[in-house]
Amino acid sequence: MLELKNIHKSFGKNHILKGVDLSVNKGDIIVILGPSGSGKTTLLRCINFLERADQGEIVFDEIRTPMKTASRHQINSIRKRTGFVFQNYNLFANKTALENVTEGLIVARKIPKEQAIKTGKEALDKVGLSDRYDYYPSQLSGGQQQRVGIARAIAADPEVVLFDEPTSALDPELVGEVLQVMKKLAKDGTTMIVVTHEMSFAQDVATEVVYMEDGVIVERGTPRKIYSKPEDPRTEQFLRRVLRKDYEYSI
Amino acid sequence: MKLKIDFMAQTLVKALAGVPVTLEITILTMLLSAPLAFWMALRRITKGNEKAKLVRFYISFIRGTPIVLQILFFYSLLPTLLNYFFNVLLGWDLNIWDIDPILYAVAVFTLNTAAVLSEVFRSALMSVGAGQLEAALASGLTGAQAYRRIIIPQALVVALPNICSTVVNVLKSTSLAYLMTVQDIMAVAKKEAAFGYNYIEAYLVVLVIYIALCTIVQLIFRALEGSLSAYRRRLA
Amino acid sequence: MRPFHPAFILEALVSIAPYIWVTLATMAGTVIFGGLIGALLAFAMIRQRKLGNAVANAYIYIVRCVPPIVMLFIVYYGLPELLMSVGININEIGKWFFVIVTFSILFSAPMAEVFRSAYLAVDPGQREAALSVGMTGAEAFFRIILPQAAVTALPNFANMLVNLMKEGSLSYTIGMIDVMGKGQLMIGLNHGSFSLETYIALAVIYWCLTIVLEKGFGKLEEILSRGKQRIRA
Repeated sequence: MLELKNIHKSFGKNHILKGVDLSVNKGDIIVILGPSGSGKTTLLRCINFLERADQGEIVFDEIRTPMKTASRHQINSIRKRTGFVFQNYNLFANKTALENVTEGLIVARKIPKEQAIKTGKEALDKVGLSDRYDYYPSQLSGGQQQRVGIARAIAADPEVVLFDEPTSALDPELVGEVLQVMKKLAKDGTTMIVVTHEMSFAQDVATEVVYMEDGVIVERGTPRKIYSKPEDPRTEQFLRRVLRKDYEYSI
Repeated sequence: MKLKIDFMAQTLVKALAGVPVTLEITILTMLLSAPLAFWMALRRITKGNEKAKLVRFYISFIRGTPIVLQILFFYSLLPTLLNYFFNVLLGWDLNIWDIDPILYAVAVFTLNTAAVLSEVFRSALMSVGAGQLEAALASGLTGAQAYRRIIIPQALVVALPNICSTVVNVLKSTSLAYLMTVQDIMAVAKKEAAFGYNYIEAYLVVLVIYIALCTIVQLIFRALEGSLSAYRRRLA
Repeated sequence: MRPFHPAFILEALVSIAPYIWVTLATMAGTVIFGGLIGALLAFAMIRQRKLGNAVANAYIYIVRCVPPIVMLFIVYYGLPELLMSVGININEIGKWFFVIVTFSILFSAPMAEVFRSAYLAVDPGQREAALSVGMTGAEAFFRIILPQAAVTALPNFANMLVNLMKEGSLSYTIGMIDVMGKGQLMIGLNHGSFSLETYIALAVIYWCLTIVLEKGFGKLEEILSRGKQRIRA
């Protein structure tokens, strides 16, 4: 359904992405792991054209879009088919929870207001915020804000939802509620690409785990395969480091 | 439209003679209003103070009325008041009407600037934070010492950009001193302009001089800022 | 000491009050044109193209160094001649025209800074989020960034407005009959005998206008910043 081919991206002299290929099928839940600075967030932002890749191609249902030269129209059509969940939520500070969700529906997708409100409420219900429609972001906890962020991303029923470290700005006790929502989405068959450090989420939910380091994909496979028999020494080292940490935390 | 360049050159030379007057008023105003402003800022920071109300009233009046109105008001009030006070009440035989108008100008601009500057000082003092004062007092400094050695040096750095723009504003306001018959840049240019109906040329000259003066002020403050904020720089 | 007639203050207040509208109307004209120029300047600075940025910065720098009265005289004496040389005759035009031109130029520079800093104060994430839900750049700007930036800009804008009103009083020097102009006219008609009383009346009017403006904008800010409020416990 969605295919990325040979994506390159540099910031000044820093070569962040060095030729990344990724293909996503409907219903896939792809979790991208990797140390910070490995380029995983940049990759995600390139898909939604929040960063403009220097080279590469995105193929969405047979429609090929060159990433460097994509027109405004092409970018918009890709953005409308994807949802994006930000690390620090980026909720519209001047809009209520419900308005945050309906804004894109009404303005960008020209959905009639009444229908948008109905859709928006459904999305908020789905993330367990039926009692928070009219709250402003500043009146919500971090976990609630992120759930609004997720509702906003899924409201228009996009074909792929991109999650950029959705829990890493949250206090530990609030991580659970967000992961819960994401798991529910996964069960409902939402196609997702998730950048995260939550190893357990990857293990439980992912259909494919992708390990990135230094701007390239080092290894990919089912969580079972990656976690138990990583082939590349870099993957193994990363997992050992991270999982031990996880273990210590749980004591 | 053609500008008379030679006239402009002549006017420039003549108007430059007004620069010392402009600078004199600006510098005296700053020197006199600074202690006044500092006193008012302190009064306003210490809460529950009767004087604070008076200070607030004064600041509100000054900030709520045009400076040109303040000039006209005080200039028509001050000589009469002084005359009444010294000559009628005290019976001295002072010649109030011979006082150099520059002094009136300094008085009016000081009254105005003190109010503006006190707000600058107040926000700067508040930005330093109570912890600094508490720490200074805890290490045995007196209140005055704490202010002189700890609070003010930090507040000054914060306030510097605003002090700079205050100075620039005073400098600009002195162009209104001609209303009090002060012979500053503006007054000289006005006289030249009226003489041969060369208004635009004369005022363009004033404009150029003011740009130069403002630039000098800003350069001085940039240098000051560099040397005063040394404590903020991290070690390389 | 010359006699002081408090009753005349009231008389002056009554005769000057109708001219508050003149002052407010010229302010409104200035805010519109000065605001437009300011927005253009801010746009040039935000876009960070070399030429536009340099021009905007130079303009702002120069305007900020010029005393308002000097700018007023330059426009008043210079603009008719400048326009005459391209064949436009504005000798018949009212004084308000020069006042609005002058103060639009003066107002635009600080406004540009207000606009720019307000725009930059909005978290770039807000724009990204708007784009991510499919809005175009323009939609993101008008629907998401502008409403937030406007609230941030409000206190500074109110300040600029008060400054504009006070500086606008200089218009009397070219014969404009607004609040200050009417006051000066009265003093002239009375051969200077009630000058102190008239100045007091003028001060009262300007002071009241300032307080009304400040209080009004304070209220407006309170209403508009609803997105920022915390739950009141």
